[in-house]
Amino acid sequence: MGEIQVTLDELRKLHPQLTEKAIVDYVNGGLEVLDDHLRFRDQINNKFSTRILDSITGRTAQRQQNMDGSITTSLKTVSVWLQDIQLYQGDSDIAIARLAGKLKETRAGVMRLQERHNELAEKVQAIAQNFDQFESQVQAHRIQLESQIQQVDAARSASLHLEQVFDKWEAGRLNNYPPLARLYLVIDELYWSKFGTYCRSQFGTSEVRQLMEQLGHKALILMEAYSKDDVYQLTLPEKWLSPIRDLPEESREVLSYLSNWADPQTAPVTWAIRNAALLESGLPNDFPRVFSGKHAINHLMYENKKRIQGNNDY
Amino acid sequence: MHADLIEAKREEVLRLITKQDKLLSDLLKIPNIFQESDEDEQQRTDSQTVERWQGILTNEAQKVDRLEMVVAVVGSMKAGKSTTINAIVGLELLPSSNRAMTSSPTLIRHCVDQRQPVLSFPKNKQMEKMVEEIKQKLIDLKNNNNLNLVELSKYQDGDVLIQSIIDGNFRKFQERYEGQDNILNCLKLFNELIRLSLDPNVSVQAFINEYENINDLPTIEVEFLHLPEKNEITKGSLTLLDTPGYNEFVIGKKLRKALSAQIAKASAVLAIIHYGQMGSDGEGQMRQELENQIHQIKDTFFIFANRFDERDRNTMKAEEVKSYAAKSFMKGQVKQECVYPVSATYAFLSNRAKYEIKEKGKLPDYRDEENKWVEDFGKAVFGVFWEDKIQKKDEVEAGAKGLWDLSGFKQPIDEVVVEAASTAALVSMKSATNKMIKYVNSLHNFLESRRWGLSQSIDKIDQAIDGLKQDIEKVGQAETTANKALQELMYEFLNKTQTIYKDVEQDLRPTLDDYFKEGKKQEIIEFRKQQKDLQQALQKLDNRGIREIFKEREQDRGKSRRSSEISYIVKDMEKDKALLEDKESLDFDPNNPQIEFSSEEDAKSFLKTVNRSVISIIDESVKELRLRLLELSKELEQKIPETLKNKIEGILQTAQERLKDEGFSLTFDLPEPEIEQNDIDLVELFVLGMEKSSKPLPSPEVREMKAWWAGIARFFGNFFDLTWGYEAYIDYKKTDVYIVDMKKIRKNVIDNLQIRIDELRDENQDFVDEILKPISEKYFGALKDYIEIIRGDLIDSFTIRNLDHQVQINILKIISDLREETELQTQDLNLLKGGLERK
Repeated sequence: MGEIQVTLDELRKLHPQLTEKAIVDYVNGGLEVLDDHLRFRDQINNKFSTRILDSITGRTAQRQQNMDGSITTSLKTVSVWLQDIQLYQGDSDIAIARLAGKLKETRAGVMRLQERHNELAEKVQAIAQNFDQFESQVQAHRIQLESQIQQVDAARSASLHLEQVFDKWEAGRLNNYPPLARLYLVIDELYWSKFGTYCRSQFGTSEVRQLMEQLGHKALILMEAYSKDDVYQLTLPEKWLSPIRDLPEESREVLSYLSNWADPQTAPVTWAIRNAALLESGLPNDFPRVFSGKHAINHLMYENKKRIQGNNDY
Repeated sequence: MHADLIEAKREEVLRLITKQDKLLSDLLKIPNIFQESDEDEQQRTDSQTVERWQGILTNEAQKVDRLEMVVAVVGSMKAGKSTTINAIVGLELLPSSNRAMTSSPTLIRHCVDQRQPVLSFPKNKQMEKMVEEIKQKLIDLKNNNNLNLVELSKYQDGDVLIQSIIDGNFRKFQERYEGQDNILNCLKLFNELIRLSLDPNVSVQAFINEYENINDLPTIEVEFLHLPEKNEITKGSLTLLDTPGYNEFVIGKKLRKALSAQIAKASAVLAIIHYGQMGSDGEGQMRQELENQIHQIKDTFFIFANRFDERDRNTMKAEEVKSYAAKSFMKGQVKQECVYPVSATYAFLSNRAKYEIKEKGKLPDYRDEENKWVEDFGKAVFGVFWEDKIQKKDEVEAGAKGLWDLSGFKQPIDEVVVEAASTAALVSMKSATNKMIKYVNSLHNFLESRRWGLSQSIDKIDQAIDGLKQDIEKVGQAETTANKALQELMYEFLNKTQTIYKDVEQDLRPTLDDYFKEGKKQEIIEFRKQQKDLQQALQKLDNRGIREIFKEREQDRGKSRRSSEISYIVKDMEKDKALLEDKESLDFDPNNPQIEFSSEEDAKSFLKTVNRSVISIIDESVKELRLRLLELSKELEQKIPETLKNKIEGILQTAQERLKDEGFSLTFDLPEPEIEQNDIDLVELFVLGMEKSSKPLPSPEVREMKAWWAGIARFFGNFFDLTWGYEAYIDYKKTDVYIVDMKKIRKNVIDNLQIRIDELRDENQDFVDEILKPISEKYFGALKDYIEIIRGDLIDSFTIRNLDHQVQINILKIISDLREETELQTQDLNLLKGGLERK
């Protein structure tokens, strides 16, 4: 394994949501079964996510190549795809739900393919079996997850997870990032994890409201402890964004990749973080013209809430 | 960096206004969410309310976008306020002369591209009435040959004015004047007329008394020649407020109040002082005048030590001026870097020349009467050989530039503008932010009332509606208690002011005692002299016989009254020597409160001295009293909100918690009572009193005092009258004896003081009724409305519950989204508010 690989592994360890997101992206954007052939939409033509995926699978796959080639090669690709995603061990509700949906869709596509290409029957059967197996695994996983959420102590375990993530911040493991990025990463990690899963399923309840409040308080405490200025001190937004531009490339890639869901209207602060990570300038109209630690908390939490509520975007 | 942040805050205010406006528009688009108020009397949040908020927000956005800067120019008499303003404008618009000139405040507004100045003169019609009244008085004076008593008649142009009024040639005032000369002449006339109206021999009610706010003042619009090319200026508007020196304050109560409020909230204050008077005897007065005008020092307070061009080897250097002025003016609260030694004359000449070069390419003919300044300019720049050089454009331009640098104006003007802009920005931003917070809070409560009203049982809603009604009643009860508390607060303050009176009394007593001793001293000297004369007379009587002495006295007759008295005595002695010897044995009684003078002149001159001292003590006390009252006003201003809020804090909190337990989470923001700066002015209380009393001015000394002081002194009343305790009668021995009774004087002075103290109690009630009650009424009234609206919104939910179920669900869904946004807005606004307050 090369040096980058090591770094990516470390990155995935530091930011577990990278794995979740890469899988979802892969599942979501990758394979498309058309009537008589297969193809990859180039939506996931993102080098960074490909590298993440490689670090998950432990191999450098030629996923984008020759996709529109012969059907035989295509089927091979499906099989690789299936192998790849089977490596996913996470328990994000989003990933599971996407997986389940995609498996169903792809399976149906592959079966249709078989109708047109009789010569493939055997191979397709093998893959279909594989699909069945994996689908039932995913389904089991899904049921397990749902029952977890229904348990009485689910809120408590979400809260425990919240503690864990903040412990990481407190332990200084995110110190390479400037405060705004740090806060974003923490909230994003929570989004992809048990905490997020719980909040999504129970959205609108007082338990979720309390959890969100807890998140806000913790963020405030750490912001206060780790920034030089008073959290209420108003400064120019640039003061918060420019340190993101100064980050090493790898960190900027992490940030821009994780925040690529944001658009300037509904998540202006996240969008601006991504913009800065991409070394671009300019503020969306809805970004506050004066900024503070408290602004960062309020806005990122608001955007996160909207993200959870939206649920369809991930 | 600092300026950038202010700009960023401004942009944030505008962003939030846009956001809030959108939020309200979204709200208006929700079908069926509002009940309209046409049909019933119930208070509620209806679409008109929301549209009104939007209108106000648009207005606020304009104010934030367009900086309105007002720079108040204050200063002592003849320090050069008008010259400074003329210098900044680059034209001679305001009359400035050796006589104190400005008696009316004037506004001068910078208008880009307005090369020709324009003066608008509101209320010009009222002027005519005043001129007519002045005319009648002048004609009367003329008929009695008393025209020369009018002070203005001593000056040539004043005399011309008086004649023109008498002859009916006085031109009417127009609404609008254009051009420098017309404006200058108009303002000169205006000021002279005001002076004329105030002349004790004319004494006509000056119409300026009727001015109520600063928009009534004459306003000049013109492009200022020198202003820094800064963003603030191109974006906003800058207005200079020329204020009369304190002693020249001859304006009515309302305008005085408006003006002092305006100075208090001015974007910057420019105090002009006379450099030459620093460290001199005149300084004390100069300082006092300034302190009278300005009650509070902010960061935006600048001192221009004017006439720095008049310095010589022996006077202070620039650095000394800075540290000296910072130390000695405004109780040492001015920062040294805000003091600038300048020359308004140089600045004026330089800009005047630049203006002419810019407009006409050369300087005008200096031989013309109105162009005398050209000679001043020439001499200042080129010295004795100025005449040749002022023809050369290049040299004039270079000279004007050099003179400008020398004037020391550039840096301070730049800084004043920057500071003024940031203050103005802050004022408009605070106002907009407070409004937004108010609306977002109301919006939150409205949405919450709808949400809760659509999701609860009818019983619960009914209960909440009743509960809110009781809360309103409680607020009403709180109002009654708060009013009592205000009254008590007022008494407490009044007691404090009484101690000031006591101090005055204590000052007066020993003074009067001293005069009594002094009088007695005079009496005893006279007594001894008389004794001596008597003895001599007796001796002579023994030695030379009565006739001889009588002859001798006859020769001296007329020389002095005293010698004739002696001759009377001698006559008496002739008649009854025994009686004479008896008189010699009469004693001097040092404890008799009556002081005897044998001459009327002596008695009256003694009385005058006593009178003057009493008045000077009063005068000092008035000044002291005024300062103490200002302090008390500030204290009271702070205590009123506490007193009011104190009474309702609990009510609101309980209500909020009670409803929250029901899942109805309203935000009751404890409102701040609206007290404008200078609203609470106890000095006003005294002015109120004095303007009610129509007592004639008591003595010539008081009459000599300048208007305002005289008013205050008049309030103190007839402190001293020359007839108090004075008696003249012919002695039984036909000797004139003039008696000054100190006991009576003292009693009269002290009694009068007591009467004033008693009267003050009545005025206090007026103050409570006129000033404090309205504040409290407004406060509690608004609070009741606030709760009543929530109650109304809740009542309305019954109507909405009759709508189709799906419609209700839609409403609830939209409400939920809007609530989230409202919350984020509230957070942003509160952060911004905190940032604006911290500065």
